[in-house]
Amino acid sequence: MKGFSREQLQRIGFDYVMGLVDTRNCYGEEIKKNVVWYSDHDKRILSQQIRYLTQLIKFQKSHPETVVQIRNILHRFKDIRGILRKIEKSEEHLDETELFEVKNFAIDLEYLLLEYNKAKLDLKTIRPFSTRKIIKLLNPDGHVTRTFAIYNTYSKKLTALRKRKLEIEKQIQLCGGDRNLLLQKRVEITIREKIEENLVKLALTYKLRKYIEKFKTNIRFIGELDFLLARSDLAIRFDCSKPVFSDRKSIKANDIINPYVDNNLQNNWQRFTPISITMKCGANVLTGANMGGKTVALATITLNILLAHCGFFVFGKSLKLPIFDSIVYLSHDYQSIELGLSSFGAEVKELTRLIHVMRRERVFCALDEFAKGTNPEEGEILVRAFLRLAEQYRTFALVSTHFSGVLRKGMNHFQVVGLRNTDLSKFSAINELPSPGMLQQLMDYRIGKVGWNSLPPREAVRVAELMGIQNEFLDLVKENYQEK
Amino acid sequence: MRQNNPKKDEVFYNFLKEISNNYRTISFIGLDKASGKTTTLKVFLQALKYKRVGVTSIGTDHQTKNYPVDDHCLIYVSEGTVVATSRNSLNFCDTTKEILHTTGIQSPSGEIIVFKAKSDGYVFLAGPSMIADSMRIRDLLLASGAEVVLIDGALDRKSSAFPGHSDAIVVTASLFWQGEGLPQEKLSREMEILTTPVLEDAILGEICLENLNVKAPFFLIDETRRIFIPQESNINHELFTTIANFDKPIKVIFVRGAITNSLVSALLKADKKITAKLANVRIVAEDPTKLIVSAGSLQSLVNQNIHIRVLKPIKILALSLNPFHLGWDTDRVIKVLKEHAFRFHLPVIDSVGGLFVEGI
Repeated sequence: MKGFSREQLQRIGFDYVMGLVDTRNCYGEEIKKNVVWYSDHDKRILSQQIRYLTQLIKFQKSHPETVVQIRNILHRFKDIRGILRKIEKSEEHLDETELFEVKNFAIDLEYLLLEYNKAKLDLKTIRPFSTRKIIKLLNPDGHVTRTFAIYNTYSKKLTALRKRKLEIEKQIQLCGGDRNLLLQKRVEITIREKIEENLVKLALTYKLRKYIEKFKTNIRFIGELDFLLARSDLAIRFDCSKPVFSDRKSIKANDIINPYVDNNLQNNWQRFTPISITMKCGANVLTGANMGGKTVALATITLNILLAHCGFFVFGKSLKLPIFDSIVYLSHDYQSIELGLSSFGAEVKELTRLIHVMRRERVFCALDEFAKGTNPEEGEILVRAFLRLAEQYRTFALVSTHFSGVLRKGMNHFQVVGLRNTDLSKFSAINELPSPGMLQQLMDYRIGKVGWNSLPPREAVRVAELMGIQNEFLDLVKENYQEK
Repeated sequence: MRQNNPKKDEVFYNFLKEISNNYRTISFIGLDKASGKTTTLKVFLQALKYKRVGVTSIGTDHQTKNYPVDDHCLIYVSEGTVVATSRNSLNFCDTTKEILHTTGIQSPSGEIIVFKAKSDGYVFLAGPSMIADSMRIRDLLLASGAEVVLIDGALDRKSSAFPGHSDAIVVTASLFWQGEGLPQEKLSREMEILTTPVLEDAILGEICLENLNVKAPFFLIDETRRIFIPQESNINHELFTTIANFDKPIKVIFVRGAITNSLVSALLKADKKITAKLANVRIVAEDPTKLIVSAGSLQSLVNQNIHIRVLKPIKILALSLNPFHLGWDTDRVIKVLKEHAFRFHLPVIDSVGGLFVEGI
């Protein structure tokens, strides 16, 4: 996907969400695999996609039985693209099995259109074609069946040959006459039957050639409908919300979640704390305790913004956002071993790319503890410089950091509540150290807005203590504190 | 069929018609090369030509894209027969075909296609290689109107005798055995394995059936019918430790996968403490296809009072022998057929000459 590596998509939970998108056939699956996000340039298509999805969700809720029917039909479509290429090449004719596949495709498409028209969905981008003529061509006897043979109706000569062949076979069965002679006659007539059958197949292939473009359009329609229905299923299953593409000044997220993290937490009998945040254009800084969920917050916000741009509903109560030209996610453990770069080197490379697009485009970028890999003094200066740059351009920059001196007046400062409101004295008093799992339960993962000059919390030592680090080490830490 | 034995032919056809009324799926299992599987299947097809027959195979002995097809590999079927074969093999089928299903099941020679013969003619069978796929094809043939399904087994594919795969089997063997050992010895051993008795105690059998899907490679049942299922482990390492530490008399040791030579030889070499505990114990496999043991192994176990049993027996309908290469006269063939019928208590067919002896 444009601007995202496989690792990044996996890390923010996008791959997990795609795994939940249950497409029914190879055409929908291919669109899912090559899913794209629409930038401001394609906002008309994005609005259309969201509108179609809204329509389908509404219909699915009011007519579940029709949607089940559509889903079952979508499941039946097989991949006929190889057959279409063969028709186009016009070097050889289709065989019976391929004609069988084409026939079943045409029949299933008519069934699909019947149900689709009931739904009164209007996917204006792709208009499917009726396949009645193809069905008629492959059912020359009138009665529509799903099986296929080279029917006698196709050729009088074939009818005559088969009649003669049947007579010989009857004689063979009755053992009348010279059996070997009869078998020889049968072989001769079978060869003539094959030749005639091939002529019929050639004629049918030729007739199908003029429907090639219609087949291709129908395939696109099936894929789009399949992917749309899979997105609709997902939205209903997770009670997702329609993203609202509004002004260009702020992003308002209300109780959004990350299903990937939520699923991992649920496996440990825990729940995801929904994230609510209002970001403005420019620099938005997120600080908070270690293990306070800053990384998860960045991933969740990026995931939902990306999903909204892909035409999905978002996971949570609401998300209002502008349509961006670029979406960028930079995580601190980003490494490019293949290129021989350290994590800092790789970060700088990505940052160079980011600054380049920031100059020209409306960008959302999430930077997770940028410059963590270098010395803290320089790291802080680098982050400060980037935030100033973000203020200058049309960029929504969300930067998580532990550096205290990066904020300037006018910047948005968010903080994870963390352990601020938790009474931890009882644990140290009775010497009952909470496990990392318990620490997660004590941690308040909500994000609140604080003053630009509020200091980032200093809870690293406390967290280490609560996680049961050795006293020998803690004593030295405390000694160092006193010296400082 | 030989024209000079009309009476025997009549008995034979009546026998085939009767069994086709009682069994919906029949597999043909060959014990060696040129044992006459396909020839026997042709004989069955001839006898069942007034029934709607479905026909397929487990794999094929000619699994390349451009396999040469000789007349022997081709089967003549009647109009109405439902056939499952691979896409590439369709070129070798000269019946008029009506395609019924494309199955999505792949074989080395292409997707398996189900078609109905709209005329008599020759077909070439190349079915799926895996038992699970073959079971799907069998169901598809039955759903497509076949009253009885005949499955041609590939060479040395005894797994197609699996009771869940076919209702009954026909065992075919050549009297002209080209491998090691005498043909009679090999035949006896294979028949002994295929007819391994069912676990006598029905309640113990029920307990085993209920626990067929446990993950452990084996489990034990004691005399109070209490079941002991160990943690997932390596069978050869853990079995003896478990037996040695088991404090109650063991009635059944159920082995979930195959009972192999290495397991049998380990049992035979076990120390006296374990051998004493195994006296009168039933070592149970799911069905005879799970017994992969060499000649003499079973007898050695019996000599030590250890008995192998199965949960699901295989119904053997007949033994089909191929005396073709031996050049015997009819009397001698009939004598051999009778000897085999007496020895295995089964009807015996001469697949080439068409002679038939009822089970004695």
